[in-house]
Amino acid sequence: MSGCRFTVARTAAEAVAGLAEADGEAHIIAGGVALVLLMNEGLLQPSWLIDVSRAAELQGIDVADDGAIRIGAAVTHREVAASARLASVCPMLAEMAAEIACGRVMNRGTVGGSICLADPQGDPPAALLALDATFRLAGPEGGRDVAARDFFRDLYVTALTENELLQHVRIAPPPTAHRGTAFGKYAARQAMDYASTVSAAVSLARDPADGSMSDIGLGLGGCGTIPVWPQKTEAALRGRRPDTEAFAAMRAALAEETAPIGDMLYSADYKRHVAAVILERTIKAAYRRAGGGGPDP
Amino acid sequence: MSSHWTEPEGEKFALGTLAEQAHWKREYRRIVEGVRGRLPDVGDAGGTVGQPIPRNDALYKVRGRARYAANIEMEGMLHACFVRSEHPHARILGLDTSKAEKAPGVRAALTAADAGEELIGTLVADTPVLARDRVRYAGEAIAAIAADTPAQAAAAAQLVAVEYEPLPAILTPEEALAEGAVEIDPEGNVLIALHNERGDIEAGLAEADLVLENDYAMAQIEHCFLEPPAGIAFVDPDGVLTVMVCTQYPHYHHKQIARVLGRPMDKVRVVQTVVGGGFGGKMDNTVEIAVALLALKTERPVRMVYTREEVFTATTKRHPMKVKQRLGATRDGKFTALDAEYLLDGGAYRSYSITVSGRCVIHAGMPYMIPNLRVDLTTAFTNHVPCGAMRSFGIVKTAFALECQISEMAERLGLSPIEIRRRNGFVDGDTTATGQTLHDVGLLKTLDALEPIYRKRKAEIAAAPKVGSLRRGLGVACLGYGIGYSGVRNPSTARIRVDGEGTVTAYCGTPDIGTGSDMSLAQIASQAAGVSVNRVNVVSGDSTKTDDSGPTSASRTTYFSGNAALIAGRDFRRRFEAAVAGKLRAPADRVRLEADTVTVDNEAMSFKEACRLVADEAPGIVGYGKFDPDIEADILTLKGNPYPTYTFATHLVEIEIDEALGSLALARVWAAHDAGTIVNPIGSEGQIEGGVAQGLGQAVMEKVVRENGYVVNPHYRDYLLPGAKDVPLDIECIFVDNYDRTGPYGAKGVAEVSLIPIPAAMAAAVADASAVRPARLPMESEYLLRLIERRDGAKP
Amino acid sequence: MSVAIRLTVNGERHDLTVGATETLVSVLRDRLGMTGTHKDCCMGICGSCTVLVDDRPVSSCLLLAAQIDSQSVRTVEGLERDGSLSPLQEAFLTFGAVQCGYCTPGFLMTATALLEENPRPGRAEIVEALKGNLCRCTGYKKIVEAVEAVANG
Repeated sequence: MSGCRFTVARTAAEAVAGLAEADGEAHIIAGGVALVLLMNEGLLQPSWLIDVSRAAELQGIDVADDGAIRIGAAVTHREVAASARLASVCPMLAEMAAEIACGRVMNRGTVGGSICLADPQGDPPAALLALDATFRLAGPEGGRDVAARDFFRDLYVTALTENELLQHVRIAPPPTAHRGTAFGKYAARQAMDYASTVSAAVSLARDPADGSMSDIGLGLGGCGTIPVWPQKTEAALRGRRPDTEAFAAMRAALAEETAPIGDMLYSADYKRHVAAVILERTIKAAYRRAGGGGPDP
Repeated sequence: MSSHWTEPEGEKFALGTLAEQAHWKREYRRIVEGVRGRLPDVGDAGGTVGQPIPRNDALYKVRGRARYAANIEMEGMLHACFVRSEHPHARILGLDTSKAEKAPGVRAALTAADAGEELIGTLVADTPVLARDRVRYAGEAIAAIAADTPAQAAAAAQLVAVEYEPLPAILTPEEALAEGAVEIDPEGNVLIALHNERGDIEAGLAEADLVLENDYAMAQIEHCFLEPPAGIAFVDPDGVLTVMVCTQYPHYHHKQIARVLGRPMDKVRVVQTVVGGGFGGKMDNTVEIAVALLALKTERPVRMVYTREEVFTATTKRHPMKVKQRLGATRDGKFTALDAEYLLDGGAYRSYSITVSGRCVIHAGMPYMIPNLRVDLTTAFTNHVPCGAMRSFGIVKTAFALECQISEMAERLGLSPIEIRRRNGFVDGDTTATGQTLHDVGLLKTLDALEPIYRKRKAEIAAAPKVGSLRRGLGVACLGYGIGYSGVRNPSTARIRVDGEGTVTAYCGTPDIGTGSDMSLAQIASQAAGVSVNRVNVVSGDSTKTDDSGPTSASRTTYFSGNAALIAGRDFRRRFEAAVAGKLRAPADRVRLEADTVTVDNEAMSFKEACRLVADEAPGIVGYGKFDPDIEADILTLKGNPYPTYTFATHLVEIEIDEALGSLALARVWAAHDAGTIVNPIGSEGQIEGGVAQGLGQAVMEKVVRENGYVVNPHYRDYLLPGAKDVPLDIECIFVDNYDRTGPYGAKGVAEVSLIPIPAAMAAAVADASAVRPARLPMESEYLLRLIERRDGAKP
Repeated sequence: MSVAIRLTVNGERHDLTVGATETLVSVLRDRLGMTGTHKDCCMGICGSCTVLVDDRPVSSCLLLAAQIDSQSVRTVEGLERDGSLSPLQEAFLTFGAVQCGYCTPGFLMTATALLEENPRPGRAEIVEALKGNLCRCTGYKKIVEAVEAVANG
């Protein structure tokens, strides 16, 4: 029997207290699909596990009348995929969650777990970057907000300190009408896509006057050592209609600010190409949802 | 001995009490009758050959009661694991197990010193049970630990200190064959070199109007049976060392264990447990000797279960292979010459490399009449995990090269891919490159079956509007495949007994490895015997209850064991009729056993009643069948008749390629097979559909990635297997009407072959869709994208 | 450290003391002797160890038993009722959805959850639900057909 301690936190405060007591030795566990995998691979031998899967403040999806979204960190991908309310205000989130790995992973894996793992190929981080989400962290001093776009620091390194945990995710209501969101992904097989996956998340607003993309937020998976927020690519697209020239500019900017990691399946060069193809297709899908028309990619 | 064996000996399933057994037998029969009731044509005279009878083992598998080796628990059982080499090639300077032996729960450590001098191996014994002074691949077993729990054994294994002196690792056949290369095997780095020739190759090439020359390369593949190898050893109360293990060939292990442990044959027993997939990967050595030695050393039952990582790093694989090949044809598409060079990476030990190599050479040019042919094969040792048998024994790769080249030839000559194959395909009376004259060849029937489908889809695809970067294409590939061992006799036998209550038991050595072969054998045996299939239990895969009938491999079970079961069934019927006649003092020729009924003149009685009548003689009524076709081929020249018969097929596939990404999807498959009579259509369709999925995996996503002698993707995260969304549901199995005069009720066998044409047909379909010609496996999307870019002149 | 948990497994209550890092598949196989749930990759990819926790399929190799105190677990052994196979079990048998059988319990549990949630799924929904379970023998067609047959009643 392992010497590992196991604490069930019923609230965020209990989890924070546990983290303080463990003094850097504890791991937060929610769904377990990533953490237990690391344990099974012998890469992690935890000495203290704090289970937050049932912690009160980490539950639930709330969508306010103005479209503001709050998702608890322990909400499963299944809950995200199944929320009709969420799908109506932000189709991209449901679309993204429904394509995560497979049903077994969706049933246990959580939004918060995926964010805190900070896997560069993770789908939720890419989506939340595009949506300019805010992460609420609970900690000994009470708590603080960190923008998703400031959260991912380095390979598997985030803004979380060892005494903090992610409590929930907030997405502000869309500032403009005529908004469209979409999520696209390329994987070598049609499920359980851990290897070499490239994904793109898009949130944009279409100016009904000239058809330009008046506002655009992007997030990319599999394009570097962290989930990538491609600011220059956003800038290259902002104010343009989604035409050939815009996509040429997109590709140039993308090449400049993404550095995918080559692996045993694909070269970095190929992943960069895939990212451009997937991003273009996803932008077109989001643009259509924003009322812009156009053929299916 | 502190333990005892309380459950039914060697039963493959947790059957429950006698009452439960009776209940589930009735349930199974009710379910089967429900299915058969839906069939329009119930077979003749009580026979079921040709009927889709559900397998009876599935009843226990769907209930979670199949006793895979890892599910077997015994009182006092220990858990074992191997200590494996950390180097691809090294001298072992020292080995110290003392720390491990003192670790909590450890009961024994096993090293080469415990294993004796005998080597092990399937065809040639060249492999140490545990490495003694040298390791030849990373993952080779050096020691084994037995402990009270699996975790204790694994922890103790970490404490075994091995002192290595690393040697240069040979990582490719080219390096192995280079002058001055370090020798991996005492006999040198050439594992085997083979050559075959017919006609005059130079004349054949000169005669050709067009000669194509291409290079092809295929990556290493893992079988990925889902059940990791596992086994348990114990000494039974009679002193018989019993090893229960998931294997395709229990008799091989029986003989080897007896030899290596110096134990009389009758003090060893190998029982095949339910096998969770084999595909050629469970014909070799895994846990058997180690658990046997540990059971003797500790006097306790010992179980070992491989991890998935061990499956990738330490079990045999499909050979990586390179092909350099020239194919010549006349303007009207008749092949004049094939000149092929095959280079295989055999890995660190021989395993089944010799068989694979022989099969590749024998099948060169198959299934086409090519008058001038030359083939040279070299298989070299490297410091990688040994390559061995895998579904098709290498033919999926030689066929890939040949069929790709034929598809290109057809296009260059302006012929349809079906027409060029029809002009050259084998027909009755043709002779193979080894000089064998063929009979009952149904190849052209498979082409004929697909031609109208090909024409129709070709026109439909041409007429359909192109959507974005998606393109569709059709591809065709054929196969011819010899049934059974290559060029050596490999008889199969069967025995059929009856008891006084009418239960008929058929004993056969070839085990059911998940394919449903026991059901097919029951169908054949019962039809031949004239009894209901419901009466027949098949006992297979127990080395002491059955004769050595070879492994379940090489698509041989239906044909070889089926023939043995047929002969045994007929023999049983004759003996049973004679016994009844004796009891009734009637002339033997007036007694008929047919359709589960015994008739004497015009009087009928049920088979069960007849069994009661002859109950006292029942133990003596034994039907025996031996099938041992005349097979002969010279091991050096390969000339002769290496197989008793051949199975043929043509696959037509439709693919969709996304040219923007290079990603390739299989959309539809039409698989036309000449497998002779189909004994059980559910089983045969299942084999084909599964073969298609494996062919798809090899075609687009599967490869073992090796770096510096290490497998770096030893798990399903980075070794990709096709899932339900990758494999098309549109797989149509077409069994052409053909009867093999030498097969049981005309059957041949279909097990391995269905994966062979898929990669080549998909490559041809890519060429059809996108005008690029892939020449390697797997055809990953990056590779295909580069070909497309080159086509468009975008990049050099 | 050990954790006291109560699990309902196939309707039967079990009070257990488990290690903090003990997975559900180990509890089922090694403590309760329920070997119908199989183990292969231990990475949550193959689906051989699929069981239902509160009626949803999960990888029991990636789930700590300590985390599911007071929840219900269903395994392949719990599918049959009063000596009869469930309709899905029977369909797997008659449609030839079983070959080596190693993946079978995982597929059965996944499909059971699907049909309880959506009794009339279309073909695409069936494939979507089964996409994360690996089978190396059948090519999936007969598995999908078996589920479809039950869905079409």
